[in-house]
Amino acid sequence: MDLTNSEESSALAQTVRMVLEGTVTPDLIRNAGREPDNSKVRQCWTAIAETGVLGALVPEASGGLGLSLTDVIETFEAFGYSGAPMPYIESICLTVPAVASADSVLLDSVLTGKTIMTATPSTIDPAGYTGMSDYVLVGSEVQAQSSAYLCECSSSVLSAAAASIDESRAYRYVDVPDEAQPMRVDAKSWETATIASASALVGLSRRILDMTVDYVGQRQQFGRPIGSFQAIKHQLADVKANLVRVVPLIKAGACEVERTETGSFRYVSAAKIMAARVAAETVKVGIQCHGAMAYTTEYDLQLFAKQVWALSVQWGSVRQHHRRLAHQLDTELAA
Amino acid sequence: MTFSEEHAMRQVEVNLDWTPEEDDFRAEVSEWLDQNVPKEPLPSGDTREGFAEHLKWERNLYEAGYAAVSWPKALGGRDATLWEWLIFEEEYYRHEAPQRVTQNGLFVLAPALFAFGTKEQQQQLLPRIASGEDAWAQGWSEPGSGSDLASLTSTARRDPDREGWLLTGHKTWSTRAAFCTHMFGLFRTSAEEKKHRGLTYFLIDLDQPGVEIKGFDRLDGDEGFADVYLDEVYVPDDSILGGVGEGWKVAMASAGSERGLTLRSPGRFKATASALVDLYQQTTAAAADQPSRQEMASLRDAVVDRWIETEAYDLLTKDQVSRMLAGDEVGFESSITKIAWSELDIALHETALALEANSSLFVNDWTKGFMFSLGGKIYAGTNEVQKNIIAERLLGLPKN
Repeated sequence: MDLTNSEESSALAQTVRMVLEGTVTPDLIRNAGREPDNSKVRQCWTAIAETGVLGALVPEASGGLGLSLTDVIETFEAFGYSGAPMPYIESICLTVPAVASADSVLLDSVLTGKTIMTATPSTIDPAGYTGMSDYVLVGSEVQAQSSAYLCECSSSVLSAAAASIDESRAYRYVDVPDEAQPMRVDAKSWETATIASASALVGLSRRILDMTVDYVGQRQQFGRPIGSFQAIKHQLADVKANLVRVVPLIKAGACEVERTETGSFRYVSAAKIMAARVAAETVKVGIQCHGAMAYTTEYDLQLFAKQVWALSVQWGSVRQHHRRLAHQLDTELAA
Repeated sequence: MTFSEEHAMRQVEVNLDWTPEEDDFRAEVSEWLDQNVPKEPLPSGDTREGFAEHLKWERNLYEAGYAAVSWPKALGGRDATLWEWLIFEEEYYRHEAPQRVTQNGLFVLAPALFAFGTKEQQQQLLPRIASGEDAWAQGWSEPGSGSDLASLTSTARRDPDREGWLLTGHKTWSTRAAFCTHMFGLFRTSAEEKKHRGLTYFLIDLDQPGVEIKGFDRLDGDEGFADVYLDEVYVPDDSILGGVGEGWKVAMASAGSERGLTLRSPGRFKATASALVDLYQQTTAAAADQPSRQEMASLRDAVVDRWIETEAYDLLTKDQVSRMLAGDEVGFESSITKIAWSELDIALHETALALEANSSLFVNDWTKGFMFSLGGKIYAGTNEVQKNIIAERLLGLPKN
């Protein structure tokens, strides 16, 4: 039994964090969905790729870092904290490992960040980051299936543009064409992405909490910082307490993905449910504590809030995971 | 330089596995509990008769080496690791073994003795706590000092004739004090110093002149509380823990353990959560008062949520133990732990009452447990105080 992060885990997170801090500015996030040529985003993606993180879960023999999921959770949190408007979950959990195991000619190009791939579990789940990606990997209808299709991102494959709640994500449905390339995906990769999304939600929440703590410490009303009022303190204390509680659950989910051969993903679902709820609450508290300041698009908080709303639904909504968890608990107890 | 070049060495990974030794320990504990836990539940330990029955049980535990597993053998324990302690607790509650009526001594006083006690104090007091020979009550709260503990007014003054102190004051809401032999508590040793300065932590034998104890009923109807009146009660110099004027520091260190890890181990809530799942299945199977599908769906969701919260608490504890063993201080995070278990306990019982409907009109384990759970947000420092601590100490928000 040990839930402390390994040195390797913290070192990778630190390496990635340094790159993200230098490159992912609020302006980059704000403009990510609007750049016609995606040049700034691509430049940033290449810098991220240079750390080797995109191949974190790929075996060393195939040019990756050969890490386990438990060693990458902290890194997903760092990505979330940065607000990086890029398919890091899709790439690290799904597309890069799939390309590597297919021994595809594209491997070098995705590992170096030259080619960007996004992914979605099925044609009924919209894929994010379609605007900046060259390819999209689509699971065959049912999550946890091991067959998928790799499609080039083009107007004939993607549904018509519709405004996404998180503009940088540019969600589109994918219509898999006949000529799409079949590709095997480890069925567990979808669970990996769920854990990654839970961890990224924690990172986003920490960012919002930090911004809010800074703000309420400075903002003066009634002659004192509003952060000295208990009404504010207690809301933020709840957020902090909830964030501390959700992280061990995410680690347990990662252990479950690595170890289980039985198809039981109770902690995975529990982690996503709790992370999504905690993040949603953090956004509400963050906006409330900022007052009208946060109720604008000028102020940066909204960039992170909208990523929270998007990620809470993607990779399994609370309702979907709730249903699956209830089912797993019921069958296990009946057995 | 890339990451892989910098970090070629692999570390031990995060894992949730028990070692073979830990599995053996669990099996041993489980077998002993199978054979020794009373088949009929004992009367409530918060009543006079029940307390005496529970002390006999404590003696059994002590003789088998299970009273305080993580303590050194020489002091009444068995040198178990923190992991083994968690396993013991899990098995203890899973077997529905009797409540620990000596818990104030075991889980609140003992950590303070280990941290601040002299060798003599440790050797003299700890084995008697483990065996249940001494039963300790808390002497923190006073009628005018609850959350604002540092405002307490009970005093200790030098005894002009003997080497020691004379204690005077009124302590209240003291758990099981009416049945206890001893009390630890805070008294003001300096009239000049205010608030948390000038307080001293005393260890008091309750069987002596000047002590008057009056029990009173808690919300659930058991005589679990008492007023303790002290009128010039003599205590010798060696009954001070941690030094004159050091009381606040000692009390806060032990309050940390009351809030955190040792008082409310996850095993307790895992057992309640498991009973809740059983209750859910009985309710769905019962022919009478069959809930509709929609009702069942909402109850099912609530039960699943309690399962998640219970597992989250279990894992939070395991995370903290992992970090403690790696040499980290958990510190003010104990305030988060306290909020977590107290809210969880209420939620578990509320969900059970929602499932039980008519049964919740009667006194039973769930209704009594529900009433007891409401105390969790009050004792060991109210949750409001914990939130102030989190906000100021962990988030760095400004004081008033």
